Amino acid sequence: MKSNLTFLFILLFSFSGLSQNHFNTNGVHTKNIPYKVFYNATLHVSGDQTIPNGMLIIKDNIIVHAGAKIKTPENSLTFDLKGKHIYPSFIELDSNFGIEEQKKNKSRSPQYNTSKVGPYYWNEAIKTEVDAIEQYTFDSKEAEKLRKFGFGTILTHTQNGISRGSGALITLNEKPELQLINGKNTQHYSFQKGTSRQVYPSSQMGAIALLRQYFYDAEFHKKNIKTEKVNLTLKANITNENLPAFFSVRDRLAILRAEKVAREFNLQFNYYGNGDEYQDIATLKNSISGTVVIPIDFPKPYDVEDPFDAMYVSLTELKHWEMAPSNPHILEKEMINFAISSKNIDKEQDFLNNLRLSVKRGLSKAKAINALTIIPAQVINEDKKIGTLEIGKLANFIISSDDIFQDNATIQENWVQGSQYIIKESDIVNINGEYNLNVNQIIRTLSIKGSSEKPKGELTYNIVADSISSSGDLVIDNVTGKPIKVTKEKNVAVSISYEKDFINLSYTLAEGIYRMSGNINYDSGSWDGKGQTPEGKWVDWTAIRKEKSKVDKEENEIVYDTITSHKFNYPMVAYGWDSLPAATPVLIKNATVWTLEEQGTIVTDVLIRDGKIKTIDKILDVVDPSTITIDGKGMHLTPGIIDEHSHISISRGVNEGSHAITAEVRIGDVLRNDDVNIYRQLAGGVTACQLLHGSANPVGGQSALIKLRWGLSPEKMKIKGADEFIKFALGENVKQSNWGAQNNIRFPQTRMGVEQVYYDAFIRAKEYETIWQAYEKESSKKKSKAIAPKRDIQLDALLEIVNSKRFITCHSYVQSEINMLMHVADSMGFQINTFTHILEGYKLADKMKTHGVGASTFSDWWAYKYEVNDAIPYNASLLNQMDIVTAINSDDAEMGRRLNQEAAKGIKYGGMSEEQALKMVTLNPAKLLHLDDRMGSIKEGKDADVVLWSDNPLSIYAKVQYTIIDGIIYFDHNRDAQMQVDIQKERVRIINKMIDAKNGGSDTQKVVGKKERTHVCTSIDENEQ
Amino acid sequence: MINLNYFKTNLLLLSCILSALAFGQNAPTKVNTQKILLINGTAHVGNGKVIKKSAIGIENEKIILVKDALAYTYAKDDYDTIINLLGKHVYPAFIAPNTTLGLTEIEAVRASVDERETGTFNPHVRSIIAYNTDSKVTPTVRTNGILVGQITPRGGVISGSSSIVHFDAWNWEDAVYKMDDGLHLNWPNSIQKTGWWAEPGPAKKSDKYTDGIQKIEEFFDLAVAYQTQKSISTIDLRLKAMEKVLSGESNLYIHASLYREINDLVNFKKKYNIAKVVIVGGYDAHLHAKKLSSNNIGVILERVHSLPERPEDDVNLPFKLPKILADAKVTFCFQNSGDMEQMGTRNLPFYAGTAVAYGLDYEEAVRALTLNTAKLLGIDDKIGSIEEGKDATIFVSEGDALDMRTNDVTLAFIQGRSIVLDNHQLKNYEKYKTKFGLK
Repeated sequence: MKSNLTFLFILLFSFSGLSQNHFNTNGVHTKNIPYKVFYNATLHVSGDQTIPNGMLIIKDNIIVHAGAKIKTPENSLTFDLKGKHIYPSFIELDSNFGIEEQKKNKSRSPQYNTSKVGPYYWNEAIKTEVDAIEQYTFDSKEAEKLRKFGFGTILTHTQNGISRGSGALITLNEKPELQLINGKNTQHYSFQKGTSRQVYPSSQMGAIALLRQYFYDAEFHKKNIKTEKVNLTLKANITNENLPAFFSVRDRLAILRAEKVAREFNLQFNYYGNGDEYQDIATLKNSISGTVVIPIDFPKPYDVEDPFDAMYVSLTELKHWEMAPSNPHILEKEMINFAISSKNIDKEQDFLNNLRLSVKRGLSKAKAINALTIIPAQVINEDKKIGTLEIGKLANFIISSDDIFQDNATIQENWVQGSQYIIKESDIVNINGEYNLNVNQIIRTLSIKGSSEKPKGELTYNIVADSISSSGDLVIDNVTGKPIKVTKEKNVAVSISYEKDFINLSYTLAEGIYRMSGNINYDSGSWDGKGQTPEGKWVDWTAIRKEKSKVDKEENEIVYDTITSHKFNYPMVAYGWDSLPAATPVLIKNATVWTLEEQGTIVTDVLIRDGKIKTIDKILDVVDPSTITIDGKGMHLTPGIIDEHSHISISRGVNEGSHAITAEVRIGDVLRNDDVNIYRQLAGGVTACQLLHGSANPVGGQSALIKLRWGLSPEKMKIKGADEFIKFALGENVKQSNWGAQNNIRFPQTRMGVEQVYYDAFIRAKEYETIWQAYEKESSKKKSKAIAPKRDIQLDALLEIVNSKRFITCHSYVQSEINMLMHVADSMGFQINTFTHILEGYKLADKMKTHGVGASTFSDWWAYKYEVNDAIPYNASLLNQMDIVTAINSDDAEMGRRLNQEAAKGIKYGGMSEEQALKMVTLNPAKLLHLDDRMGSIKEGKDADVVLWSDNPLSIYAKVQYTIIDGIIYFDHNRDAQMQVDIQKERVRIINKMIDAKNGGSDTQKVVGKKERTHVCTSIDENEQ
Repeated sequence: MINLNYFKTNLLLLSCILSALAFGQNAPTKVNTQKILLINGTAHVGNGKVIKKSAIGIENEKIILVKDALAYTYAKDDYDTIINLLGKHVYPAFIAPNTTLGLTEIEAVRASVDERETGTFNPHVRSIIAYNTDSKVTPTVRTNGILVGQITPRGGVISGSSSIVHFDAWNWEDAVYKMDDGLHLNWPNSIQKTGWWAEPGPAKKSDKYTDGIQKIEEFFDLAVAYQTQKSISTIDLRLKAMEKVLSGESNLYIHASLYREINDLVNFKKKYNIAKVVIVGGYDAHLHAKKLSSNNIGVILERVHSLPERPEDDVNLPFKLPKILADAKVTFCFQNSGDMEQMGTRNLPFYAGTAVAYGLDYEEAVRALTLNTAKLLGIDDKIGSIEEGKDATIFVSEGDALDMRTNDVTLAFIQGRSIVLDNHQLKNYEKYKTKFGLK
């Protein structure tokens, strides 16, 4: 009863809708709008609700009934869909449908300011004012393609820039009045600056900083809208701020990064993911709150028959090929909300097949449908209009020949807002198989292979060979003793063309050409028609399918395959852990222990428990039975190596080398945990390092201090509670000496200018502080009326420096400018913490001593640029003799794994003692990083970050046996050897699977070079040393 | 540790050194006219043998005597100078093959870089004439025991010819050990790298590889055809410069690293019947070991202190390659091309040290710094080992020269001349030690 009432209501409603038509009509008005009734179908109201033998009734563009069979209303057009299935049509969220792609202007000269004229944001990559709908024109060709995929509704947005403006919701109806659902539906972001030629940002950490500053600016603008100058970008942010937000990322780590921004500004982002979300799913699950839109363009198998080529398909790529189709299943299992996108897929068969493959890997059918229908509808708050087949919603649905998850099922019709679009069958139906071709009562076998677009036919026919025939063999009948006629099989090519249900065949036999045309009956798989023989005689012909090709048959049964490898998952690269490591007590017995404390170097036992060094003494009994005991006899135990200057483990840009000051960027925002160099450095005894911004500008970015906790998430690698550091740089890099001739614009171009950059920065920071202090002093009453100053994340960082809450590591070579920076600091009332590289430190060691700065230098580098021409390998030794805290650093992933050797050069060059030399890479860098209270020496109560060496650690013959961080054995030479074997086994296993897939007919991809490099090696990226 | 005996008997030498210092920085020393005996040092002969207590006699520029000191009796008057090296080590000069020392002074200063001529096929280009004997870098290299180098041009497909020099000369003519010892061919890369140093992208198969080989073959076809002329009417400098490589007189150094490249260059050698081929690089050479030894191809192995090529590779594979090649009987030696190669040449001994840590026999490691290198470069008749009749181009280290902890070169001879072991870095050190009153 109730449903009938609703039905009546909709009926009335839709009539009233009719009078709203403002479009001009040429000629007599068409007024009759009949019902359209679809019956006898399996009706999938949503992924969760299926009605066998259901009925769907629509009027105009609206669903008026969806459910069990009811009485057909008057004035109905009816559609018998026996055996067929109706689904809500799919919703694509990740698209730039109808929006022309913009191209980047390729000038080489650096552009520092925006080229966009008008009251917009200062940075061109922030384009919030852009509305997709303003740039949109309906693209019929693309619409047709998307309808074939099963899509009815598309969310389109401009895929350009960091803030990309608003997205529009469009349906794929060809009539303009039935296209737009919501012109301002969503807002969009990414970390890519797109076509903006402005130099800033040049790195992902820069993009993050820009976005953060933009959100602070937008907040300020909103609060002070009356007094602020007009800014159309910031104004648009106010308009858009409550719309569902989407963030486009290129890998799963970027999701974690964007989530941090979201938390800072109390936003919720949904993500356009990359298909690698299954990796370290637990970390993703803990941080994400929105929905991930995932692609299903699973990688094709590589050509790996050549074992040499195969060497260049990394274990990560192999595993990703194997795991990618399980991504949807894993997200479902972990209850992470997701929608599915057809991004990067060109052919409708590939889209449906990949969807089916995901189901075979365990994705539920219900979730697969929902992820394409109601979930995307809900994410964009349009689930009242689209997403399911329910009364009142738009008549957006598809008709499938069968359960859509059956391999041979096809989408036959796609109805968009009540308009019918028939999917051209000839475009999608594959006619491969074996047929009995009957021409004029002669039956021969016709087999068809190849692609749907280019079928290849072959006719098998018999020829008669007897004793007379020149080509035939003479065969003697055993019984009669006489020559007999035998038949032989021969093949001839058949050319085939077909469109919809009309087909042409022709082939040439000895007697001449046969030409035939006829119809395809897709349901029965048979063809029939008329043809002409070589003699010109018209004959009847038929072709009856013998059986479906074997491949088809096997695929008809859904074989669930949820088996996936559990090897090398944390991170998913070679030498990754199968599962995350846990701490157990470790006892190292009888090793030569370099305590670097008063105890000196002694032979004793060391017990490690709860991540700390528990006891340094002879230990007779071990209480905890889980204790791992290592016989350290003849071996040397040292504190873990600490690298004061490292650039490993950083994503998408070590330098924000655009502006002279980029104090706002943070290396900590862009850590990656899947850099194999982390493992390699563990193998060299490194336990902690400072990941520094590059040296492209006088004030670079903020550092991250990490321990090499291989396998853990980026955030968990960070050293908690560590002091904050920042990179500064002097000399050739910051004045762009080696950047190429076109880089002569940015201030400073001389060392003279560098000094002024610093004074300007610190004076601005102090003024910023004054403004804030004045505001904070006000009573709360006055405060509520006053305008709070604007947050400036660059000045925040600079102010922290002035107030000794953030510490400088400054890239430096030449004494003049080193002296200058110490003067700047002195006059501003703070201290430089560390000069790094500091190759001319030996020339002004006395001044450094007075200032109280430390040094972190190279052992023996020089002569690679003009400003290091006076560098000497005795530098560390001299500074050490002058009682300056001195460290040796790597600045190089290769050197980073043998810093013990670099330290040993201190003995050669300048005669350090062995303990002094070892301190250069342990206790002294710990001091420079303010971590010496918990690292850098072997002392009871300090972190159990230690290395066991085969030999004196300063000898070139020393090899790392174990590297322990927080009491966990992260590197074990025995395990390393075993892993090398296991890596090969795992590779072979997957490679065999790939070859099987290829032999099973899968398309492959070659291990072929990309012509472009993924990063441009400009000096901005490279200039570090 | 300090051997007083050394100072006592070495007065004459010291006076030589002092007179050399009077010339200014690291001036080459005068021709040796003395007869010198180095006694009791542990001699690492270079051919795999070691003499625990050795007697090494030097006269003029030659080694005239190599004996076990325990079996050698001599009169003090037999020698002008006798130096007691008890507890010290004597090595043949370490040789730096494939180096740009003296061609490039400061990498980032374009005006000081002379290693890379423009063009694709430059067999006619010769490194020797650009070799700067007064480079400030070279003296910092010799103080670690490296006294000879193969000065090698870079760039293009054929970079030009290298020459072998010693590091104690007034000009390049004085310096030459062997002029134009061979041509350098850069084999195309079979694999293209993506990404950049801080974030390498995946390596992918190059689609220009076979094309690259074809271009090389086209050039060699032209060169072979050119040599068949009985009388040459028009001289083509490029093709003429190919003569000695094609006739088998000089070496063809093929710079190649990976499996496919090495496979193909062996075929190339056979196709053009090139007698002397040496691989420079050879990361995957061990995978073709049999082929290389049967075709008499040696390897100037890429820098040992390198990262593995592929993420799956043994983390320590670059350290282990010397041992693997030695076991496979491939003749190899060490080199240092790559980033910061000029100034880093002084670390050459430590690559050998690392190889020892990863299994290579110590004396084999020394051989790969000395005699193997000399053999591959075709100068083993003159240097490469401490043997009678060879040039007295040798040095003394206070301790094990392959370990930075103990490498301390206190005496070095080039063709019998005791060279000045000073450099601008030491001088700066002394200068500022004095300023700050340090000892």
